[in-house]
Order: sequence, then structure tokens, then C-alpha cells
Amino acid sequence: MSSPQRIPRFRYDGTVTAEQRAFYEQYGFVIYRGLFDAQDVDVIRRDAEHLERETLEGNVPAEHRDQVIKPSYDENGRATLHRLPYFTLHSANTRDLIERRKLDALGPGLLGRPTWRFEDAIDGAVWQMKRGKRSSYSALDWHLDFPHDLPLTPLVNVGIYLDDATVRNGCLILVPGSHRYPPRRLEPLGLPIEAEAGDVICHTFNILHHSGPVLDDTSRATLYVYYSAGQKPDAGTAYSHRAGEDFAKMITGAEAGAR
Amino acid sequence: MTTTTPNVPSEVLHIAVWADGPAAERDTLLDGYLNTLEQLTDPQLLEECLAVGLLHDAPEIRRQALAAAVRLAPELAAEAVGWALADPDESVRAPALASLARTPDLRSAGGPSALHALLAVLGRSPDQITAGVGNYVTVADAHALASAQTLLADTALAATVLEDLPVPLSADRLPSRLSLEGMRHIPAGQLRRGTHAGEEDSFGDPGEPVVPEITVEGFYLDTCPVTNDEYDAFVADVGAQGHLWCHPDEPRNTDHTRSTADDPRCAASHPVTGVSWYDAVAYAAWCGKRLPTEDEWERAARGDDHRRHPWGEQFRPEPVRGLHTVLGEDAGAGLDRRAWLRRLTDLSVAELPELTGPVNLPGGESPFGVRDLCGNVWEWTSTRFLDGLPLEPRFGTMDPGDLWGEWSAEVSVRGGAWSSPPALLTAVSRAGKTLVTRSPEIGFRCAVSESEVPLR
Repeated sequence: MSSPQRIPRFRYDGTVTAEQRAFYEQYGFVIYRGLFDAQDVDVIRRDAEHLERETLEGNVPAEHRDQVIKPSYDENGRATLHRLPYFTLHSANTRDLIERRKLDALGPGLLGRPTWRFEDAIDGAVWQMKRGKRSSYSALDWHLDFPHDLPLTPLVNVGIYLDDATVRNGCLILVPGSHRYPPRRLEPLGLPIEAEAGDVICHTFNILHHSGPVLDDTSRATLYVYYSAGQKPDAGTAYSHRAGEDFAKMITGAEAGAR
Repeated sequence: MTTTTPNVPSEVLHIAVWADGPAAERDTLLDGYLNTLEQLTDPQLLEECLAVGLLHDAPEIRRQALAAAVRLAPELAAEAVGWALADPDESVRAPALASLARTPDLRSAGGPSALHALLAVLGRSPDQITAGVGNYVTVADAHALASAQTLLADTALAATVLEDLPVPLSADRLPSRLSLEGMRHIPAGQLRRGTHAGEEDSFGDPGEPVVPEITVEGFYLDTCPVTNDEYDAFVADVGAQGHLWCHPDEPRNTDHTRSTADDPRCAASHPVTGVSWYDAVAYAAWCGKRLPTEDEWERAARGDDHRRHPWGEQFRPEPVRGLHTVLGEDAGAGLDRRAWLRRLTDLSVAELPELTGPVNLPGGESPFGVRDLCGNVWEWTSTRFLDGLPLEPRFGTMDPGDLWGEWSAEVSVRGGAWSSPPALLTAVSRAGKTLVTRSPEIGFRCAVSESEVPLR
């Protein structure tokens, strides 16, 4: 797969411009370059390490621990987590950073109406990490994040990239415009979206997308923050929509220790 | 085929227009058609009515028409069997082969055409056919092989046919029309894509591309866009010679006539408009050229100093045909996108005295001497809009109407047109248009790589 050349990357200064909104409406995604700098990324990484440790040590409430992706184990049996739900609820530094970088303005800017951020319900903000070797999570098959008739919708998925994403390490691949029309072919032509650490990729809740396997020795982590313009559920409402129930089945990476 | 005879029976007309439906409906029509054939006494009318079935889209109708031809029209049967032997549907080829095997008259009357057809299907090596060695794997292959062997055993027939077989010649390839006359050379160099950091943006400027800088190899680019006159000559040549230059993915039975052909405002010396991307690709191949990539177009326009317009950094109204020219006023200057689109909505295009203008407008040359890059017409490129990769369409089986909204069918067009405001009349603005679009605002010019130019 060739590397994309001209996909536009926009700058974000706390407001979504008319051009950015139009691009998002037409293609279902938008890329913001360097919204977070290297120090910002380190803040989130440190929070992720801390939350993973706390989770493994049993210091996180059971209802806030991930139920979707199995942990991976290294040669010594040490566990690694691939998914940390309720991330900002348990990570004050990241929560503060998100507010300082005015991320909360992305939701209304892109959706055109007031939004609320996933925080204390339906898994909140979710940190995810994929890798190729000794991993239970490497790739994800084609899917939509949320069905169109969910009361939470419309919503936007805001991915904060904590590592570079390339075709080699299984970057996001989506079908631009597929949030407006179902693809006319069974096997649609996907567009790989490469990104650098600190970039933010926003996409609609119902765009068809997948991510390929990690083919090299790297791992790739992303923090997903969701902004909904739909109904807000009560705190503690579990992550149980249809897409979520199917989520684990879509993971196509190797089981831990298989390679 | 002779001219159509009047009084073609209605049963024949019904079968001619039948395209799809239940098999029972087809069989009823087919019965009526075959019964009618039996009753025809005028040989010319019979021949025409048989041809309707022999050339029908439905294999079952072709098969039945072939059987009727063998039975009713011996003088047509040989030709009909020849057609059927090359039929892609083996259920049609098999009865043709069977007829050939069991009808000595057919072999003698239709021997040459049958052998021609069989050699085309089986490969043109009589030795291999006689030996029975080759890529023969199906029942129809075995029958075809046996028939060909029988016919080749007739040494007089074989000699006649083999002598008549076309021999590959280098002259079979049409000589390239490539001429560098009217083209400018653009040497290899760097292109900084899009708007540069620190520049003031306008609404026509694209977002920052994921790969901001690239090396562009040396190439030649038409000095001016292709004109209506030049394009019409291509259409006439396709009419005379067929679709020899067309993109393999182009919709079948494409008529390359530009959609502006009947508009007297689109004069011979104006840039061609009303042509799809497929039309443009075919024209370029006809000239021995190709469409430029978006990077080539941009480098030709911006030069080594990566300027914003071909003539420099600042917009100038004189060397560019935009909305300001067409409306004869300071139209578009300072308009934001919404106001400009409102202006276009209010425009009655049919009542405008002119749209495009003659090519070769002076004063707007790029540093490499290329003209008319901005204004007059948007120009098709060979680049896919959203990701900037080469466009390699494979939509052959799709209805063109299904391509709207398909991101991979959007082609990058550059330069702005007679309907554009200054914000779009730049060397950086870009837009994506679906490749089947025929617009009075989109034309093209051609390119050729240094490496594609034959040594002289």
C-alpha cells in the first residue's frame, strides 16, 4: 500500500473553521497536526503507565477495568493491558491537558451543536495499545464504532496519537464518505491515515474503518476521547451497545504468545 | 448487413427488445420468433431476422437462432457458425461445433470462416492443434480441437486459410503522434506543495499536505490547454478507427463528443470543456501523451521559487480569465466562499454571452513559459484528490451514477475557471471532481515525461 501524499492536515487553535467542518462533513474525518507536543504526549504516556499498574494491582474499581481485550503476557508471564477505559476519570493530568488544549471545543465545532465528553459512563475516554508480537491485540476488522440509532449519537471519536502511525504498524484505514452512503462494493477501497505522535484524528461514529496488523516490532497507543451530541446516560452506565458487544470478535491479531 | 427491410414481423421486434425477465417469458417470445422465421420466404428478410437472434445478448436466444440458421438458411449458416464458434458462452459454441461436425455441407461452404474462428479461439499454431497439445481443458475445447483438426486435414482449405491469416507487423501499431511542438520543458526539481508557513491563507487554499515537499522528475507540458478544435479531431478519429486509445475502465460505448459541442460560445480556439476524465485520458493517449500529475501541474505553475501564481505572488486580473472577466466587473475580489457561491447561484449561465475565452492569454506565463494555468478552465490531472496518489480507476461494472460520493473516484482538478474568484485562481487551490463529470468549467492539457520522449 502506497503512502498517502496529499491528505490535508489542519491546524487547531481552539476553534473549528468552516473549511475543517466542511471537510469533516464530506469525508467523515479530519486530521489535526501537532495538537499535542512531545511533553504533552509524555504526560499521557505516564498516566497510562500509572493506570495500567494500578489496574493490574487491583486498585481500580472492577467496573472500570476493561472487559473487551484480553491482556497479553511476555515470556516471564508479565501482563500487559491493551485497553484502559475511564482513562480521564482516573488520570487528572491528562484530563487537565485535554482541557488546556481546548479539545472540548472539537465536539461542538465538528458536530455543530453542544456536546458532552464521555467521562464516567460507557467506558469514558479509552486508551488503547496494539502491537504485533506476543499480543492479543494487533488488528481490527472493518467496523463502525456505534450504530446510527444509538441515543448517544451523533458523536465524534477524537483519537490522540501517542505514537507514529504508519501503514507498517497498522494505522487507521477508513472509507471516506462511508458515513453518508453505504459502500457500493463488498470490499471497499480504504484510505490509510498515517499520523505522527501528537496528531489528532477525528472521525464520525459511523464511518467504516479498520486497522491493519502491526508488522514491525513497535507498539502503537492512542487515547480515544468521545464527544456526543446525543443523550447523556447516567454515570456508571456500562459499555454495552451492539458495536461494543461485537468489538472483541473483530480483533484479528494473534493471541498472546502466538508469535 | 444490408439496410433494414420494412415489415419486420412483430415477433422479431419483441425478441429484439427483450433484455431481461423470467425464462418463461423469454421462451414464449422465442417460440413466436422461431415460428415466424419458419414462415419467412424473402431471403433478405429472413437473414435480417436471423441476425437479430444471432447477435442477441441472451445466450439461449443466440443458441436457438443458430439452430434455425443451420436449418433454414444454408447460405447464412456458415457465417452464423463462424460467429458462434467465437462466442464466449460455451453453451452457444458447443451446438455450433456439433453442427460443423455433422454437416459436410457446412464444412465445405463455411470451412474458411469456421477455421478462421477456430484458429482465433485455439491459438494460431496449426502444428499444436494437429498434435492436440495446448491449453485445452473443457468439453467445448475438445470439440473445437476435433473440428479444427478435421478442417486442417483438408490441406487445400488449410493452405488457403493459413495464407490468409494476418501476420503481425510493426506497422500494426499506429505511429505515435507525439510531438513536442507546443510543449514546454519543465526540468526536474523540488515542489513545495500547497500554502507555505507564514503565508496568509484564503478560502481556496488547501490544508497542509501530509507530505509537504517532493522531487518532480523532468517532463514536458502543453503550453496551453487542449482546444475544442484539437479535441474534435480526436473524436472524429475515434469515430473512424474505434476506441483504440481509451482507458480500459471507461464506461462501455462511451461517446467522446464533448457536452459543449452544440454551444456556439465554445469556439474552436477555446479550451475544450464538457469532457470527462476518461475523455481527457483518451485524448492524451491519442496524442502519445498523458495527463499531468498534480505535482507536475503545480511545479509547472509555481517554478523553482514556489510562487503562489504562475506570474508571481500577487493576484492580477489581466492575465487570468475568471469571474471578473466574464461579468465585466470586479466580481469575486474579496468575496468569501459563501458570497461567491451566492453570486454563482444568481448567474444565468445560459444567458452569458461567453464562458471560456481563447487559449494563450498573454502575460500569465509561469516561470517555465506555460500559459493559461490559472483561469478559463479547471484542468484534469491524473491524481486522486484525497490522497494524492495516481488514479487507477476500476469502476467498470459500476453504474456511473453510483460514483457520486465515492472518494476514490474523485480526481484533482487545478487552476480555477471562468467562474472562479481570485481565491481559487491560484497555483495552490485544488478541488476534487468525480471522474465521469462533464462540466463547462473543466478542461485539460497533456504532459509527457522526459523518459517517454523518443530519441531524435
